[in-house]
Amino acid sequence: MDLEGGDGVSDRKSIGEFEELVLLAVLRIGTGAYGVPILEEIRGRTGRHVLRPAVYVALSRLEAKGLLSARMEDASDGRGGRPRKLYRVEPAGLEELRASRTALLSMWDGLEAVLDEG
Amino acid sequence: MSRPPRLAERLLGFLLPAEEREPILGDLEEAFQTLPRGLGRVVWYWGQVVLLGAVLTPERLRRRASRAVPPGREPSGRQGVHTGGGVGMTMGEMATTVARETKITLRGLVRRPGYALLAIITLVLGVGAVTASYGLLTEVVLRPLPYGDVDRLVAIRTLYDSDALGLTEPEYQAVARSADTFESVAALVEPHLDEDWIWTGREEPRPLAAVRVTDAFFTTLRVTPEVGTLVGGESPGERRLVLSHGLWSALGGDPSVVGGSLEINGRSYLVTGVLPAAFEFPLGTTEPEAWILHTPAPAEAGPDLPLAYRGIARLAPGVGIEGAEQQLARIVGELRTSLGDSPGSLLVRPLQTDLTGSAGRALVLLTLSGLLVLLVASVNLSFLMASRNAERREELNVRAALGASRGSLLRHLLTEAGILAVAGGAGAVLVALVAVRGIAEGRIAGLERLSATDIGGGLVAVAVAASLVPALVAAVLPALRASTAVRGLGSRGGSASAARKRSAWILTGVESCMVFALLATAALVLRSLDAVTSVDPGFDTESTLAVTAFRAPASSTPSDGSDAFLTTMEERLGAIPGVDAVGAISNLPLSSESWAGSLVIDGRDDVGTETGGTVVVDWELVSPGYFDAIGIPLLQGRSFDEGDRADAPGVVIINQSLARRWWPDSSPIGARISGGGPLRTVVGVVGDVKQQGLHAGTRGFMYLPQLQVGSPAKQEIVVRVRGADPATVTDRVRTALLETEPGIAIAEVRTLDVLVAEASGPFRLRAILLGAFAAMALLLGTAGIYGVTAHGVRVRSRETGIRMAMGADADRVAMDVVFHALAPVGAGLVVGVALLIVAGPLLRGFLFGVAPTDPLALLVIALVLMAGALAAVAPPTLRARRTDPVAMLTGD
Repeated sequence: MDLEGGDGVSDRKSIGEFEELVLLAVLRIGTGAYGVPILEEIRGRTGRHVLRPAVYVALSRLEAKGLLSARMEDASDGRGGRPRKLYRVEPAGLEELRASRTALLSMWDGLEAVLDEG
Repeated sequence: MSRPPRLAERLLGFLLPAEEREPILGDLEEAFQTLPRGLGRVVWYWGQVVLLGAVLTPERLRRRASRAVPPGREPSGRQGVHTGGGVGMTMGEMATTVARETKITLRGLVRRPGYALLAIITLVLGVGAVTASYGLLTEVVLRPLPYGDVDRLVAIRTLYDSDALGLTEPEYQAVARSADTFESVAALVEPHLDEDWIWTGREEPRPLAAVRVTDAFFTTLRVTPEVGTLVGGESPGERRLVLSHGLWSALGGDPSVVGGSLEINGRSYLVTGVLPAAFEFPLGTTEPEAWILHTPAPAEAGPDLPLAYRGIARLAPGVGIEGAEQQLARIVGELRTSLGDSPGSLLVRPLQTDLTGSAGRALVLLTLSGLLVLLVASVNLSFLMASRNAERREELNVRAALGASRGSLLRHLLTEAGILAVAGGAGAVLVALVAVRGIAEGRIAGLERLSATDIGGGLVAVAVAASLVPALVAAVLPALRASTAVRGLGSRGGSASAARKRSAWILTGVESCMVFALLATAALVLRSLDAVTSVDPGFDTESTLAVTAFRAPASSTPSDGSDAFLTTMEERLGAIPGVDAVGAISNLPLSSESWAGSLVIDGRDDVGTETGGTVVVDWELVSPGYFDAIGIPLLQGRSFDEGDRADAPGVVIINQSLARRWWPDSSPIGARISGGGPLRTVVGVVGDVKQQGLHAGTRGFMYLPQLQVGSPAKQEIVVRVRGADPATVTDRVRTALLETEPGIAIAEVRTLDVLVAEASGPFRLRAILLGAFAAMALLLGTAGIYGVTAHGVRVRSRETGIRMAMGADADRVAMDVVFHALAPVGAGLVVGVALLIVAGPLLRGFLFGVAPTDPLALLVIALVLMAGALAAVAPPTLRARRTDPVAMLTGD
């Protein structure tokens, strides 16, 4: 049994859909991607009600898989003097996204008409 | 900017993996700050804590587990299930075991939701009551005041009769010189003598909540300024003040405010510094916005009045409170002898007690009541758990037969108790938070220290302890018994052992006793409320408005006869259609404020001989129309009129109490008396009024004519309206007042009915809280008695069946059940009455117009409790009565 909650679609693919969203959010934000804006980015773009813990779990798993790297930024105002943990997408993460995009696009190829009908 | 609830933060910090802790807490705080202030975002924060804790903690445990496993072995969630013992278990294995046990227990509880719900509700009620009352107690009384080394600070007051009053100027000076007793001495000028501060240097002048303190006030308290300095400057003539953090923020929170000035009463004051946000000095009135550093300048005082000082001091090293009191008694004794004054005593007590004591006793009573509710709940819980264990003895026996160890059975029962306790405790914290917040937002007199933001840490700790302890005790005792019983397999528990019966009897008795004590206390407090609200305040409250207004200081120049304000005001307001009468006084009745001085009667040297030299007499300043407007009857002589001006002979009107006390057989009219100023001739006697509060006794009282003595800036204007709702003329009254004097600041408009209702506030609050606790106790108690009786009937059903098969009468059986159930309740009642008699003196301070052993109240409560018990006993009794002997003996 896959305790890691993988989606079982592909052997090669090691991240779930939500992790992919998180990865994309980090990429979109660029420098200064940490918990709060990442959550806002996903909520704002997908309109989904995303639970905060889900984001943190995804971030820590992506970090453990080497798809994201993180560094602590110094204490800052408005956060009780606590540091931000800033994330950056690693080349492996980029590779993962690229593969996922290619796969999805090729699956969609020629199906645009179906969408228009709906 | 307020911070997230500290306890929630700490709890989450504990739950989160170390490496994620700081950034996640930071993120949460950032999101918290974007939400609108209020209860909503605190609830949101707690919600986030629960969510994050629930999701991320297992993640942390899993990681620890995988770290603990030796290399080469796959971490597996199934590890450690069969290992049973704690020794040698890795953290991960232990976590897994606990998780598994929890899952099984939860499943069991969900299958019997009735039992779980009942246990949780019981805990929520009991723990909620004690947590809420303890929360109030810690916040209002126990939380140390934010001063350096607060234990060494004392308050110094003078005792007159049994009133603690301020020090006189010479007394204060003498105290301030006693350097070997005190490291530092300062004082607050008693606010009610000089309360008229109008912030004039702005477009619309408004009253400013300000108090005067001596230069060393903040250094004695050891308060660190937010900005600037909190001590007076070198040049003595300069007027200086310190801003509260609140006012400073309202002014924009700019540090450059310090060094600037504020115009008060038309005079410029230099702002020397700003207090920190956490500073507080509970005075029982509005929180001061500005602290004026006091330099003695008699011109600023009210009309011919000495100032009263509330002394505060820091004890010198090695000096105790008693030592200080003896020292002061000596110093003040010498002083008074030299002044020809009679010696009185000085009262020295810890500052914390002095400032928070008034609410303290009521909150201690409340906390004790909360504890009683918790005890009642605990007794119920133990009944509940015992009967549940008895019911599933079969199940436990089967488990034991299948090889479950005694330890594992115990663990199962403990886990169950733990789960119930956590659920109950969490519910209780929520209930307590909502209750305390509700009370905090009610802004109740005496509870001003209750800030709605800082409730947390202690509260949750108390709730956790208060729910875990009874739940575990209630679980362990029967569990130990259950697990011993397991050894004798096949025991069916057909008849309860004598020991168990005895313990149920005693517990029911104790429970009834506590329920009775709570109900009786609540009933007594309710009767007090009733008595207070039916007190005659001495004036007519119907259709009368009271307007609190402050005159601009420049226009209230007193006593030269040129001030036309009162006359014009009475004329203009009196001309409003529907207005019957208009008058003004310096402090309204029931305000617990009044001016006071020592009574002197010309030609009488018996005044004060029995009280050691001084008789305190309260006095106020009134306009000619006052008595008529507020409806105080004139009993003898005349009222004040337009002729009582500064150039006319000095006159005074006294109340009936004063007249009766000093002229029991003659008329006081024509006598010459004084309450601290020159002698004046008594021209009239009016009815008594409750000046100090509804529950306070009536003292001797003098009224002086404002037209003669001079008008204070603060005017309480009383407007009697004919028939109509007084609210309908409010706007016109305002307009007329502004026309009379354009610079006047109107602070408050309310009806006298509201004033009277506010005066009974403390009694009302006590009655509500204690009433709620008593209702909870009665509910729990009834449920408990029901549970015990029902269980007893079930356990004895075989015995009953046999008796009935042998020909026992059904009514006889029913009587037996009722008697068994009510005997301990009766015993509890008797003990409860005895308890009340013993605790009577403690209760007396909270009661009014009713004795702690009021027979009517006690009888009614005893009947209520008995009725509750009967209602609880009825269903099981009916069940016993309907016992079918055949079914009982054959069916199993």
